[in-house]
Amino acid sequence: MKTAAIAGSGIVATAIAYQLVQRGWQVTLFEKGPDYPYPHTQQYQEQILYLYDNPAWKLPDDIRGLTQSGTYTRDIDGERGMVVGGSATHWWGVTPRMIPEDFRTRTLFGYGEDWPITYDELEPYYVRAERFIGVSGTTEDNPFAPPRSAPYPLPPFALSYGDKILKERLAAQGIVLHTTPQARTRLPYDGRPGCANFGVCHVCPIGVRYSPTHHLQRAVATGRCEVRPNTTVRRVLMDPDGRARALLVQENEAATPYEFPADVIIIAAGAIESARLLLLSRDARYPEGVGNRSGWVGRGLTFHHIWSSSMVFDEPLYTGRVGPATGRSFQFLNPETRGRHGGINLGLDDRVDLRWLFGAEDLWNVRDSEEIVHRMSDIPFKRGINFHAESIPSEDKYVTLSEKKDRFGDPLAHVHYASNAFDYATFEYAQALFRRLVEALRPKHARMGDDPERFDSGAHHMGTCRMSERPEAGVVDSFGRVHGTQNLFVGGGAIFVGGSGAVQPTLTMVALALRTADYLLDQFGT
Amino acid sequence: MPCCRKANRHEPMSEPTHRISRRTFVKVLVPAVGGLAVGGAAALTLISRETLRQLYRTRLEPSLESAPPGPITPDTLQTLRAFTEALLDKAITWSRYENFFRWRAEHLPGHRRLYERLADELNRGAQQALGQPFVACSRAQRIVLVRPVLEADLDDWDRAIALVLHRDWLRFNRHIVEPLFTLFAYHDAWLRLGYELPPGLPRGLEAYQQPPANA
Repeated sequence: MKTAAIAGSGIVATAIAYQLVQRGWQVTLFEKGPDYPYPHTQQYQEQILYLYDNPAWKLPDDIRGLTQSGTYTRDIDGERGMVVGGSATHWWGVTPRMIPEDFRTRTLFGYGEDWPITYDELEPYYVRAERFIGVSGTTEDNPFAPPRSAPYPLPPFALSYGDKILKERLAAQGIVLHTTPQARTRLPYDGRPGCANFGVCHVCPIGVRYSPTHHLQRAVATGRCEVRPNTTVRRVLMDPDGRARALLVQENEAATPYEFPADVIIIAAGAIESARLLLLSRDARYPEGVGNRSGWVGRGLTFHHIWSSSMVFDEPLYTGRVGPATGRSFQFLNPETRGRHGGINLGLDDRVDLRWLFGAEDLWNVRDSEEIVHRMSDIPFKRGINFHAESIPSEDKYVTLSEKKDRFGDPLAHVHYASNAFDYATFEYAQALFRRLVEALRPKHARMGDDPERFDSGAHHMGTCRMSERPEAGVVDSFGRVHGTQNLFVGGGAIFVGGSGAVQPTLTMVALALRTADYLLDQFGT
Repeated sequence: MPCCRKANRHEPMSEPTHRISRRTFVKVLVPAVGGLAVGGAAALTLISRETLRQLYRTRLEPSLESAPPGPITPDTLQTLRAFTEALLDKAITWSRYENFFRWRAEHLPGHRRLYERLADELNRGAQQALGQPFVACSRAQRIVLVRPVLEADLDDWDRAIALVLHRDWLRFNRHIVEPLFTLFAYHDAWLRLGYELPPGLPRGLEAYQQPPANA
């Protein structure tokens, strides 16, 4: 029986593990964070009904932390979900495909690097990924969707009442608003129920929004998969012949580590921790870290730059009556001016996240119920609009090892991230788009910040172990195998060549993971 | 008290001392105290409210007792309802708040005991002021009775005083009052804005495509 050891238990680790287990492999996943119940009924009750922030789901800083520098204003460590199932236990669930041009930006637009695979090569895996995580969507209302060989497995979530008003006004100005592909089950699917529209999707109590734990539980039930929570992977141990021998792991509360050997070693711990683990695994043969002969480990870091705006209208749109994502426009993913700046994915979703309520409406410490209603009174008339922008790597975006150490004495990751000229040009493009939207939508008030550094990465950390055809130009090949090794693989956003264009990266991560699993089964057998 | 004892000018001194005149003392002390006050005020203005709030939350806030969780009595629950309605309004979805109290009392250490202490405090205040239990008071009377508890946590100065004199009031604010207003913002505020149901409850996939029925 073939064996695999995986660092991480998130959506990529799970997708690979599930495929291997189905074909008879024995797979062990090591997760630094705690077990996390699924479906997330308990978390829903705690967070939404009883306002309890359970410390059991949190890791102490001396296990999970990082240091950061540069111009990014948010807490990068806080963007990472470290529990069994990873960040996708509480993600937003929006799952667009990248478009064909995103894989060839060097050739077509003169920036970034081309990927060593094309959209056409990945397309069958996009279809499988959409079926795997249960994507609801359609292309019928979206002329800017990339080509596809099969329909979505589930019908789309309809636009809201407010979306329809906005869609009409945008159409008059030549802008298309369409539905959003997403990993929520519009109808019952693969053992998951149809959406009931709780609207607190980060803790969906009934498993409608995909969580990796859905498949992890099934994999464990076969008896060939084991998840070891609260266990930190500290090193990849390499043999002199370039073969990964084992993972060196340590239970978070244990005094000593132990070696865990396997036929195949896979690192799928998020872009930052995956790079950190390769750097930590340096030895005499790999003095710069495993897979880092090219010097590319950690170097290609790319975030999305998500700028927010808001508009308040004269008439009520009744914003916030639907949890799933709704209105979106892919019209600006690939504009004619692309190259001078990046593409933008416009999000006009009709939702109000309760977690944002107290920040957005300044309700903290208000002790008057009428005042609370007054401060929230804009909500029915208001719509947030996000400019989800493409970015590219540069010298000022990287992951390296920090001076600060974790509880085991291993250096934490240090993330340096500073915007570049391309990002500033894309911000100007976003501002121009905002003005165009204001003209089309005619709001009573409209606001967009003027500081390009005030953006949210969307927790989309990518590119730190980028794929390349030539070993000197990257860390892994297009299947995720680390150049110069036989059986060591990296998965996830880490292996992207920079970012994922202007679209959310998760579906592409799953598609690549399924491709890696196929490759493993082909190369190593069952 | 030794520190308040006046010096006797005629008392023989055992050691030579440096004497300063009252005038010199005033000339030195007043500017020093003034400078410290101005400097302190300037420093305080530089420290944001958020920083002070963080400092309070992480270092100074009174913690809950680690009393075991357990069910709350009907009497305590009745007082909590009267308190909640005084705080928010009578026209609230009480079941949402009731479930909140019950679950926390039964699952989180210290909460049942905290609720009992709040009920005791409210009843004691009502007995002293009006000669009756809190639940027997009118809403207007209850509002007057709960005001000191609310005001203990309204600004940094009140909070500092309460840290010394009314630590339980701060616990009530943090673990009861603040969550109640949050629950209100999560639930009843949406209903008052014209929504059929708030986010967090299952609303189906049809209604959101039309305006609310009562719009």
